[in-house]
Amino acid sequence: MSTRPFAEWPQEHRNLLAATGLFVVFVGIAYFVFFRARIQELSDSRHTLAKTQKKLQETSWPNDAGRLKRLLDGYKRDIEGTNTKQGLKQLAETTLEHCTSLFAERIKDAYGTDDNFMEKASQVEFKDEYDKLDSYLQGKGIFLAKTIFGLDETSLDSSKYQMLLKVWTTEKLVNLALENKLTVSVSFKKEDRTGPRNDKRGALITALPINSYILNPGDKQPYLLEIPVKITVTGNMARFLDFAEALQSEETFLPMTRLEIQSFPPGDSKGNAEGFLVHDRIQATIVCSAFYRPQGGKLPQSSKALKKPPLPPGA
Amino acid sequence: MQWKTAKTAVGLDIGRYSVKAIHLERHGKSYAIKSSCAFIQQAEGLLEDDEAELYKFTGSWLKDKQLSDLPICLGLPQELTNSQYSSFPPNLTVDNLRYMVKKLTSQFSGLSDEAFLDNFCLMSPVKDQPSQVLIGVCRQSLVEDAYSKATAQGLNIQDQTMNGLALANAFLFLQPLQAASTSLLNLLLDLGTETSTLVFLRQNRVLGIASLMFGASTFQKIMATGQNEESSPSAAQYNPDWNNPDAYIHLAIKRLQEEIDGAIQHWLESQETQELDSTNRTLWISGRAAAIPGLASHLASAEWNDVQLLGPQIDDNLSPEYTVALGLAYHGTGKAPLQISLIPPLLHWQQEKVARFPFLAGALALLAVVTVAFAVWFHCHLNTEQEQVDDKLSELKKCNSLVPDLDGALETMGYYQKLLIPIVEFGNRSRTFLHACDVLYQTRSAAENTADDWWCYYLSDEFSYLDSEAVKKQREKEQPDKTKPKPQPQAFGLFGNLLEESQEEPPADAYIPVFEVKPLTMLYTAGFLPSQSNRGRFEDIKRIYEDLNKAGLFTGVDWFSDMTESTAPASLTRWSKYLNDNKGKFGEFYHFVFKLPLSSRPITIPEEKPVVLKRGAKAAGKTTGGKP
Repeated sequence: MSTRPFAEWPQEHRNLLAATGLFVVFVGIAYFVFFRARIQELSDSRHTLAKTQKKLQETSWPNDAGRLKRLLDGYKRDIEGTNTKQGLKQLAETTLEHCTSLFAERIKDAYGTDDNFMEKASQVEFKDEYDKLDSYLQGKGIFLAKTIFGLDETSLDSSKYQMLLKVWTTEKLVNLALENKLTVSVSFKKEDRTGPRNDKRGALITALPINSYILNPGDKQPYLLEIPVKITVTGNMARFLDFAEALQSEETFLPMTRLEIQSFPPGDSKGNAEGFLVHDRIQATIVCSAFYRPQGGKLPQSSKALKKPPLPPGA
Repeated sequence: MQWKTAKTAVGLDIGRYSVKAIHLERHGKSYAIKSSCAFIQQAEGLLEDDEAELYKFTGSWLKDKQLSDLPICLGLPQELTNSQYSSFPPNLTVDNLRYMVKKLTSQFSGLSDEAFLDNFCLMSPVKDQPSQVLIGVCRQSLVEDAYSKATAQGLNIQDQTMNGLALANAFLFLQPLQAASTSLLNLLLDLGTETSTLVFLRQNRVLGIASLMFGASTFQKIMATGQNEESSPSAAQYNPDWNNPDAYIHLAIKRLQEEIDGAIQHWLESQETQELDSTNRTLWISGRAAAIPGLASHLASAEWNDVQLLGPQIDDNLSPEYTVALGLAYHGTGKAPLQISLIPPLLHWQQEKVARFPFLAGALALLAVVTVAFAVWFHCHLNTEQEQVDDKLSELKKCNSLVPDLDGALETMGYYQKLLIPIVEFGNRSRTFLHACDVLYQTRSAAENTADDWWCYYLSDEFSYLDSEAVKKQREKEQPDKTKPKPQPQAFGLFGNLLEESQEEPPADAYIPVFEVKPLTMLYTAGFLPSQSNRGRFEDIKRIYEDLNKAGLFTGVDWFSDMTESTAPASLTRWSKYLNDNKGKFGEFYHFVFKLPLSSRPITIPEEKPVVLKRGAKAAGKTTGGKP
């Protein structure tokens, strides 16, 4: 067909060629009118979709709005709580409130507010409190030695309130030990002797340095203070267990953070009916910590510095 | 207008005396004459040899008759063509036959410098019988001349064939039963003006075509001689006196009979079979001169048994002058049994293309349908895709809008959880210690084989053990170079009292981030076990170890090898001495020491990602929140 000139083509072939040409033109026009813009629109939408998807993938959240909504609702319930269940927010607040309120009444009576306590606690007041504690303990046959306790009325610290907290924590701890009929052990070292004539053995009670906790590295102010006091007590196991339980009661939160229990052979050995050894006297060296919030009831500001929460996402 | 159709066709017989046309149209499965027309050239004032004028007039005449646009089959004078009846081996394909015919006709072409057109027609093939083929050959220039002259006048010439073949087709159209007869040899004689054509036909097969140098003009000349007239009446108008034995018509008939006899004899000589000699023969006469009254009845001869007029019925009259035109029209429909088209190559090419046009049109229509279908599908696909993408996008946008809230919620949860980390960690230790005491007690009580004859004299957490004086001393021995903290100079107060080392507010980096609270992971215990004479030393110790592992509070309880005599608590020395002193009373005891890793922890601190140091940072190993 191609070897023949177009003029020799049969008329219907020429008509068909013209029709085919018109059809091609029509298809071309249809493409530009109907499809091109839509293809471009689809391409743009896909591009946006990919971009959005990538952005979402970077967050490691699932691409399911319903699931995310459910997760969000669940998280909100976890935080705020429901009618029947306490939320995390309230739990944290009440727990902190309970755990740091060991000296709340004392502070309120003496200073009114925590801010006043932190600002107005003085060296004189510390001396007074220390002296009262020392006198009280001496009355119970317990002598504080500075070499062990780490404090005496001459001690200086820029944070007077923290010194007061140490004294109060020691007082509370010793009282609980005594209430549970435990004996505070003493040091047999010469350098630990104390008393007016340096003839009393120093009690094994140490006010350890206060630990200040911050939520995130770089925080300027601690939100929680741990006031640890180390004490060595002697007694039988049952009394020690009672003492341990008394450390964490409704009114008291003085948890044992460290424990070392030893038993020693009896001075006069005796056997039971079968001739085996019987012993029930223990010596426990424990560290108990009281907690205090320097900012009072105010919670610290949530920091954006830490992106990851302690618990992994539920997704 | 270059195509022919099977629905209708016009046969155009341009003779030297008159021009005849018949319009054949299909009615159902058969064809019928729709119209016919003819004109006598002399009557129209046309000169005998002026072909251009003849074609011009014919063109306008057919336009007047509204036949010029219909597909026309133009007749070629038989005397200007050559036909040959040949036999080829049986069962040949059409392509092979065409090839062999080409070879044969090329021999004709080789005799002349002119180009020839050829075509052939296979005569009713019979299986395993030689293929009988009628071949038509004509000079190309003659065909193209006639074609160009006709088409120049606007005639839609779609076919051209030999007048002899047209005569045979007309016979097949008009007398199909006679033509199919096996016992009858039909002699078809078309009496033309100058020449006549004789066709031998039997059993629908053309067995030969011969041209006779006798025509209607011979009748006229003979009759004119007899009458001594300058101008004689036309053959058709002539009414001879058959009763007069001296009439010149008998001379003319005799001359015609001699011509026909000669042609028959010549044809019979060329036939291989002698069977045809004894076959019944019927002579069919057509053409203008066949209309001479009484001609058929007086044309008897020993060579044929019967003489019949051959022609279509037009206006209820037998019209033998239209026989060839009818055959041409029948050939033009493409449905005639005998088809030998002698047309110019261009027309042949065009007709081939037109014949295949439905396939081309179908293919393009299919392509168009497929294209349209694809367009529709693509349109729907685009819609669906767009909807899906929009839905996904909408979903993702919703997700994106929720992400800040989720991050905020997690951050809030993290915030409150972080607040509680020290409280939870330290608050749970008491419970852990008491639980450990209980487990040790229960293990001792539940022991079946060892009874309650073993006891622990030491229980400690990992921090207390490491801070014990014995361990500290051992560490100092192992690391004697470790610099001891320098003693601070003593300060005296204003009134001479010794002041304690000033305890300044710890710097900010001395604060402990909550994530750096060290969780309690391990407890240690040590004790004694009386030796049993019937058991190995570690047999009972192993049982205690197994019971502690089963208790649930611990996981991976094992011997604590780090606790040696030098790092053991002070009570060990006293117990050892005591037990040695009383060996005679209590027997021998084995010492055991276990580490008790805790199976669970109250808090789970997430792992921080390692901080990527910036280029040039000198502080290698600097991490977020370093321990104060």
